[in-house]
Parts: sequence; C-alpha cells; structure tokens
Amino acid sequence: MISLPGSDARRPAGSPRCSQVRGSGLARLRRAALPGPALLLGWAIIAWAQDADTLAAPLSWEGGGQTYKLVAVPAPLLEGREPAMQQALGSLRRELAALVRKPGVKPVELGEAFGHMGRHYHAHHLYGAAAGCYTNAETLEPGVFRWPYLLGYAYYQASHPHKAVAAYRRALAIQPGDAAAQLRLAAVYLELNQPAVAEPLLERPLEQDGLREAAAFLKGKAALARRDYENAVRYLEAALAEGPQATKAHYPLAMAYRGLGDVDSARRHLKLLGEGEPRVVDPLVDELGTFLTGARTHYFRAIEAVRDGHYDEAVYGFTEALAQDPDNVNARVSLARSLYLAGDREGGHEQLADALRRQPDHLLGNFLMGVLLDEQGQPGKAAEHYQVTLAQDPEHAGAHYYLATVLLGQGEFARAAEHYAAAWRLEPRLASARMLEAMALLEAGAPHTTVRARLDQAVSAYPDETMVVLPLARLLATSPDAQVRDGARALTLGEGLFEASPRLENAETLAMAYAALGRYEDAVAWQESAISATAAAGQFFQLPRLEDALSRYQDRERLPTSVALNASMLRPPPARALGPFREYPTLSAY
Amino acid sequence: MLTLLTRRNPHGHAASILGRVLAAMGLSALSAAAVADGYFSDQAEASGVDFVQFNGMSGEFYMIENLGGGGALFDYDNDGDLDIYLVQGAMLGPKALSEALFPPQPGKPLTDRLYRNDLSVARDGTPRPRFVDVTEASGIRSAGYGMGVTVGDYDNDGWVDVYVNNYGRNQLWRNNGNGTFSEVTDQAGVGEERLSVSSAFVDYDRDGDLDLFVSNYVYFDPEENRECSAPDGSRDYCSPRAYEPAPDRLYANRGDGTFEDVTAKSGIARAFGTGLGVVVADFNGDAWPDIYVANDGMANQLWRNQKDGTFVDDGLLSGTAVNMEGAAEASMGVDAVDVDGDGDEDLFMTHLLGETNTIYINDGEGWFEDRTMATGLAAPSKGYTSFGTAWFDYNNDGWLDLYIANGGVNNFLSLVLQNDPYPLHQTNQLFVNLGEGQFKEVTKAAGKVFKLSEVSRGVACGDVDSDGDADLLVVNNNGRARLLVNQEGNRRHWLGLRLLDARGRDALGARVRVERPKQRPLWRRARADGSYASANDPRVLVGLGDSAALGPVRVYWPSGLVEQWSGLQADRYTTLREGEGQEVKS
Repeated sequence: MISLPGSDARRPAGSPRCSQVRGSGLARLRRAALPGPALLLGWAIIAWAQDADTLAAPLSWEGGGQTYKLVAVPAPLLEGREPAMQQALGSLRRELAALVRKPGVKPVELGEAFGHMGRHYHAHHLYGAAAGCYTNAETLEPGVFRWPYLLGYAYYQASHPHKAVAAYRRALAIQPGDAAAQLRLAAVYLELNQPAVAEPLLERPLEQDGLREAAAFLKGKAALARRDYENAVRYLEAALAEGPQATKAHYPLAMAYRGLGDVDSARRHLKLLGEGEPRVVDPLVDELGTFLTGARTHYFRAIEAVRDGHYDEAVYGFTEALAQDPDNVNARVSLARSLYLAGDREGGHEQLADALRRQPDHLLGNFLMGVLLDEQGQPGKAAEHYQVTLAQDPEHAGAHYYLATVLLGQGEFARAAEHYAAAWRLEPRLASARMLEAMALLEAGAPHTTVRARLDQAVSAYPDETMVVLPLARLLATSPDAQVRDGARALTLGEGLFEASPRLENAETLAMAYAALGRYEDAVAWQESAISATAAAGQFFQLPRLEDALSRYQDRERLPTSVALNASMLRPPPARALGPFREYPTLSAY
Repeated sequence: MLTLLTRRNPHGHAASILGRVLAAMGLSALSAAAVADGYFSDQAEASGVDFVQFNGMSGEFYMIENLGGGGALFDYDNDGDLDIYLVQGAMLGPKALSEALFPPQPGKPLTDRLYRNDLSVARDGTPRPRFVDVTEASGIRSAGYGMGVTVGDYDNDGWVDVYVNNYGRNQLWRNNGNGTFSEVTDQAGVGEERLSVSSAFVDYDRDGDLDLFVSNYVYFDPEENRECSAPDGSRDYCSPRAYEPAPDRLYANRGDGTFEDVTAKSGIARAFGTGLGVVVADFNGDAWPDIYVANDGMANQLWRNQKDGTFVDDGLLSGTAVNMEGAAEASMGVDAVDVDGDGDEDLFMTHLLGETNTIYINDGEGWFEDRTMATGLAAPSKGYTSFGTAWFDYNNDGWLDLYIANGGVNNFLSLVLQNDPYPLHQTNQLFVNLGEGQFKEVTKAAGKVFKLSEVSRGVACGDVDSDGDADLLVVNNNGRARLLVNQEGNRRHWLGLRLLDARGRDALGARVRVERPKQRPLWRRARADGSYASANDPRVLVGLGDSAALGPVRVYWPSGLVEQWSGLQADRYTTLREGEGQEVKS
C-alpha cells in the first residue's frame, strides 16, 4: 500500500506521523487522474519517485514521543553523472525516505541515517543536499558533535561562510575544546576578514599534532592581514618547518618578508611557491573519502589531492578509481606519478610498466618511464622511451631535451645539439637547452662562429640568465678564433655576472676576460682572489684546476676554450624524475 | 529636435558646447537626468545600435567562440561626442554559415561595425544619442574573427585610429580624418597573427608617440580542436590549460607610421601566459608607464618599465601575480584606477566562477596587497564568471564605483537541464563605493537592464550623451550590444576634462589631481585601455558630489611635465592642452 504523506487515514497505527509541510509538484502529480491502461505503470513510477521525494520538502516527523521539524533535502541534479554514482545515491535516498515513513524508528536511528546520506552527498560535492541531511541529523540527534561540524564544513565549501560560522559555533557548544572545530572556524573567520576573532581560536590547534601546521599557516596569514610581518614570518616559517609540502605557504611568507623589507628572502620564497596545502589531520573530514562511489569522483578527489601535494591521498584515490576502471591507462599513469611522489618509486615504476603493457605507445607513460629509467642510471633504455614519445609527438619538448642529454652522454654531440635545438624552439623558456645546444655543438667540432651565434641569440632572449651569459663570456674570452674573441665584451658580461652574483665561476670568468684583453696582471689578481676564497671555503678539490689557470695567466697565456667551458654548470645535471613527475604539463590529469 | 552638434567640428569642444547650452537652457546636467526604472536604462535599440554579436557556434565547442567580443567608445570624427566600434565574430572551422547554431543577424554583413553618434538635445533638454551605422562609408572591412579593439592616435595626426584584435591577423585602421579609415596593418608592421583579445596603446619609451602592447591568449586551431568534458562527463568547453599559451607582443612606434617588434629586446618575451586583459599605468610612481597583463588561469605579469626600453616582470613580488592564497586565478578583465583615493593606481581583475574577483591595493611604491575580502567584493563575485569591468563614478559622488559584466565559459548544469540553448548566461553587477574601502552591491536598484541574463564580455565606459555622467557599452557574446545610459550621475556636480598632449593627441596615461575645498583631492587618469577587449572614452570625468566648488586642477602629463589650472568650471567639459597651464616644478 502506498502511504501518502499527510494522509492520516492510511497511516498504520503506531507508525510515525509524517506530513508534508507544503505540497510539491510530485504530490500534485500523484493526485492527478491517470487513464486506465497506464494506471499500473503510472503508479509504479509514482511509487518509486515518491519514496525519494518524501525528502524534498520540509517534514514534520514524530518519533520517540517528540515532533521534529525536518528541513527539505533538495534532490541534487545527477543527470549526466556516472551511473554507479547515480545508482548509489538514488538507492540511498530511497532507503532514507522509506525509513522516514517506517513505523517505530527512533530519532537517533533516523538521525544517523540522515547523517550517513549527508556524508554521501558531501563526498560527491553535493553540498546543498548534504547540508539538508546534516541539519536533519542535528535536529534528530541534538547532542552529537559531528553533524553540526560536518554541516559547517559543507557550508564553508559551498561558500556560505556565515552559515558555516553558526554551524561550527553549535559544534563547539557541544565540544567546547575541539581543536579541529576551532581551526575550521578560524579559517572561516579569516575568510570573513575577521582575523582578530580567528586568532584566539588557533591557540589550541597550534598545540595539537596534525593541526599544528595548518594552525601556524592560518596564524601567519592572520598576522599578515594585520601587517604584523614579524609574526607572520614566525608562524609561516613554523608552518613550513612542520609541513614542507605546504608550498602554498611560501606566498604569504614572501609577502611578509617583503613587508619587512627583506626582498631577497621574499624572492626566494616566491620561487618555492606551489599549490600544496597545509595538512589537517581531521578524521571526520578524512572519512568522507570512504563515501565516494564511481570512479570519476575518486579521480576528482585524487586530482585535488595532487594539487594540494597530498600524494598519499592521491594514491588512494587513483587506486580506488582504478579498481572500478582498470583499463584507464591515463589514470594508471597518474597513479604511477602519485606513487613516485609519495616516495614509492618502485610502485611508480610498476604502474608505469603496467600502463605501457596496456598501451605501449602511451605518450606520457613513455616519457615518464624514460625519465625514471634515466634517473635510475639506465640512459640507453630511457632513450628508447624518449624515441617512442617523439614518434607519437615530434613536438614533445621534454622528450627532445632528455634524449639530447642521453646522446650528449653517449658522445653523439651533433645529434644531441639537434635535439636541444628542437627542445628550445618548441619551448622557448628552456634556457638551459639553448646553452646545452651550444656546448654540444662545441663538442661536435662546430666552428666557434656558429657557437657564438647560438649563444648571442640565447643571451638576447635571456640577458639575465647566467647559464647562457657565462658560456658566451667565456667563449668570447678564450676562443682562438679572432673573429669570435672579444675581450671587451667578455669583460662587460663578466662584470655583470659578478655584480649580480660574486661567485667563484664569475670571478674566474673575469680573469679569463682580462687575459683576453692582455691584462694578465688583472687576470692573475682575480684568479688569486678566487683561489683564496676557494681555499677559505675548504673546497680544496677545486684548487688544482684554479692553480693551473693561474700559472697560465702568470705565463701570459689564455685558457683553452675547452678548459674554460668545462664547468659543471655548463653540463646537464643528472636526470631527476621528480620535476617531470610532479609538474610535467598534461592536458588532463588523468 | 534641436541638433546642437555638428560632425564637422575638428578638435572642437562640442561636448562643452552641449554642456553650456544645457546650462543656458536652465537644464544643466543636474536636471537632465530622467529617472527611469533605475540608475541605468538600455538605450541601444532606441539610439540605433542594432549590433548582435555572432559567435559562430556550430556544436564543435571551439573554446574561443564564447570569448568575444569587445567594443570601443571613441570620437573618431572629432565632433565631441562618442562613437561606437563593435567587433564581430565569424564562423570557425570548416562548417558553413548555414550550420551555425545561432544564425547571424539578417541583413548585416559579418564584419565589425562603426556607429557614428549624432548627438542632439530634445526639447526637454534631454541629450539624445543617435547612432548611425557608417561601416560601409568608413571603409572598414574587418577580416578574421573579431575579439577586441583598442584605439589611439598612433600617427599623431589628431585623429584617433583603431587596432582590432582578431583570431587571425590583427588589423590597424588609420583614421583618414574625413570619416574614412584605411588599413595600414602591413605598412605599420603590427599584423600579429596569434589569437589576441586585448591590447593597449602606450608611449612606453616616452618619445611622444604611441607604442602598442598586444596580449595574446593561446595557440588555437579549429583543426586541432580539443575535446573536453564537464565533471558530469558531458561535452563542454576546454579550459585554456588544454592549449599552449601564446607570447605577448610589444611594438615600438618608430614615429614614421611603422612599428618595430621589440618583444625580445624589451624583455617582454621572458614571461607570458594566457593573456586576456591588459592595462597600462604608472604603478610605482616613477612617471614611466608599466604594463599589467591579466592571464587566464596563470600568474599575471606586472611589467615594470626600466626607463631604458626594457621591462622586468615584477608580478610576484609586487603581489599582483596571484591572489592572497598564492593561487593564480583565471583573470579575464582588468582595470587600474585609484580606488581608495590615495593617489596611486590600484588594480582589479575579474575571474572565473568559484574564484573571487580580486582587488589589489597599491601602497604607492608599486607593492600591492590583495584586499578583496576586506572590501566586501569577494563573496558577491564567487558565483559569477566575470569579464569586462569598469571603474567609474556612476553617481558622481567622488568615489569610483564598479561595474562587472558576467557570463560563463562552461555550461551551467541548471541551464542545461532547462534546455537553455546557450547555457552560459548570467546577470551583470553594479557595486557602489561606500568610501573607507567598502563596496556594496546595488545591482537590484540599477535598472531593468540589470535583470537581463546574458553572456556579457566587453565593457567600455564613457559619457555617450555628454551629460556629465558615465555610460556603459556592454558587448554580449551571441547577443545584442547594450548601451547603458546613466540616469543617476548628473544629479550631482562633475568636471569633464579632455587632455591633449603637446601634439594634440589624447594624452593617454596623463594623471589629474582635482583639488576641492575642504575635501580630499580626486585622482583620475586619461585612459582608453583596461576592461576586456574594449576601449574607453579617454576623457576624464570627475564626480564632484554635491558641491560644484573646485580648487586647482593639476595634470601630470606623460612627458613628465606637470601643469596646473585654476578657475575651471564644474558641470562642463573643458579641454586642457599640454603647455598651456601653469608649470609646476616638482
């Protein structure tokens, strides 16, 4: 029998009284007359829909001897979403609706059911529906902390900060000292531009493991908002010390240093800026992840975790998603990346290998496998993967670059130069590729005029980039080709380098430039200074090379170009997979 | 109908004539406002602006089809009133025009349109802008898929020229001074072929002629169209991350009608992103113009002018590259004005749904703080995807207010489920500046036109009816252009200034300080750039509030000269020429 809400006549004795506060479209539809042949089917459809829709309007529910005013739980728009998710949420909603009507249900039982449903909605980012469920759960279980707490979080995520404040306040009334609630509430107050209210709420979280990092981050931001730069630096440095993955903190920290007038520190932190969020160990929120259904929702959660630098969570998300969607090679590559970034290199390797077994020509899979093998000291095998990558995408700048580096190491200088050139032409911001192309050309025996032209071009594009200015200065200072050698310009460039950064290699470059101009006394003086500074720094392994150059200057000889350009910074660094695994641009994250 | 203005009034002061006649008729600006249903009324159709943007949608979800277009408010015929230029789209990809999901306006060729303003005054003293489509007679034959437009007198002949941003080669139209234009793109060397939306004329080297900065977006090719999905799995527009960003361009004016591409030489090539908006201003008070580029989903650039022909990107350290969370936002439109009245240029950017629009307050040294939360502009912006924007004093109370044009770039599920044919539309917003760094949304009181839900993009600001308050030209993607005529501002007093440099050109970048007895001074800047894909009226309009009393007016010319005028009259437009004021030694 269909029990129509509000139809007391049909209500079985002892069943909870359950009435619609206001009519809905479906209620009106239910009362509409249906033609005979369609009657059965029509009622079947209505019955199916009615159970679920019981929740879509406010309810007055009686149970345990009390009347509870339950708010509407709007039916979220699920059209177009994954079938698994639609099915799971639809089925849960129908079960909940049935429970609302079921006789003899206790308030606590219904409260838990609303909360359960709320967490499912919440996990799928359906905040409106989640908020309705949590509100009802709180009504039915007024002393339970987690419902107003999760309600506050849902409101916060849905950009309803004032409602979030009210909910968190209610949660704290139940558990006054709950540090996680204090932290969350403080975050909302900061968003509402009320740092003075937020800051006291952070004291307890600052003392608690798992919350300290986020609390320090928020403290720092609050101090920054007050232009209290010293405390901002103190707290933000503490946040980063606690959780270096919270790369987002580098930005407010940079602004705080800027406020203190320490521009160098500000610039240093700006270079480290990322999207990593401070970690919050919050079991109630963390548990939401277990309510996800459907691969796509796991993917989104995993991608968010990657963005926040929480790679363990990303591994979990991709693993869960792949359990439902095992043939998604892109996702498997993302899992490999997450594993690597979470510290499980072997696991990353295995997943990449699995991905390439499933799709041997997978572009990103091959590229990352190449980088990984390169890092593991297997350049030959790495090169094979770079070649596959380039066969798929001849304009893959990264594959050109890494392949060039392998070729350089194998002594195939001309081919290396070609690939470096391809790399910087495809990605003009790859200044190192320009420099390495020049070095490869030099090794391949190209005329110094050609090498100089390449470096001139690079310096024109990147006049402040040491890695191109330095080799040009040294080539101009030491080339035996009179058409290339230009001591005056070498000196100008060298002075610029030294002024920007008084480092050993720049002092050496100045000495080379003076030698090119025939000013050997100056060259000797600079070289001696370089030697003294190196000895003082205890870098004795550098001394033989420096002293050999000194004796040449004392003998009024220039350094050979091959020696001048044999500097560590003019060679490719050892392959490291971390950068490409973490930051390599992809059209989609999975 | 009394026609007061003639189009044959080169360099004339027609607008000031209008102001004087209005005053003589006892109407003045104060009584000219007709109260309609709110602060603004849409008078596009009534005034003859019948432009409908065609976006070329054909179901292929080409990402650029929902980006255009823009418009310009400028006085091309030097008759003292503002004319209108609107850029038009075209079909994209191989499909025929007949396959467009929304067919173009019948009877109108798919080209950019130029409307001449034949401003007149009705018997009741109400100024009546009347626009006549003069595209054919003007000789303008746009090519490509139009995105945006900027204006400036690049050849210093006293007639303002037009630069059009296209998907496809951009075009430079030289104003011949007789109502016609000639295309000089090739001769000038500014035929940038990358996809650009906004650009700005700027005399970055202070050599007396206007150079050109073009912000480019992404490398897009319909033949390599990417397929992207909404979170629910349905087909949707791609984000710019699906494409490679395209580098911006800086062209130096050689002074002989040609430009040199100095992108690399100037340092501009060192950083770039998905540029959609650009604004030029002196952000650090060194009297040299800096360039700010708003990138979509990438860090923005603030190019500090090094005074030697080069620029350095100081976006991050200046605090304007990313928001207070350290996150790059999807910047679309941008504007720079002195929001807080402290004499320096602050920045405002419009952003994507879920992000806030962001306001960066300048400390005077070119270092900024993200004060979005504190101003009250954060929460009302999170539910919108915003593009064009204008800081303007709509109520002439002396504080700059804010207009924001909205419209999504990804389908709104709620509209999709209603079978909406173009499910991107949203309403636009108006915020009043309460002073003390606080803003309040007043959209509901702003008029019926604010109830329209459209896919708005470009916004240009200017006093179309020359009645002393700022009006707005709003360009809608796949929709009708709107002309929001201000019904509110000229209830208060105002000062209108046209600033001409020593060569007789609108002195873009000139800053004005207006003293008022016992009140804070007001700072304004002559500018045509900013917003999104659009060009503003370069005249300076200063709301004076309830008092017409004026102190000295000081002009900081782009050349570095500082001059002062005294005894200027309120409630009228006055032309100030460089070299004719009293020099002030700083």
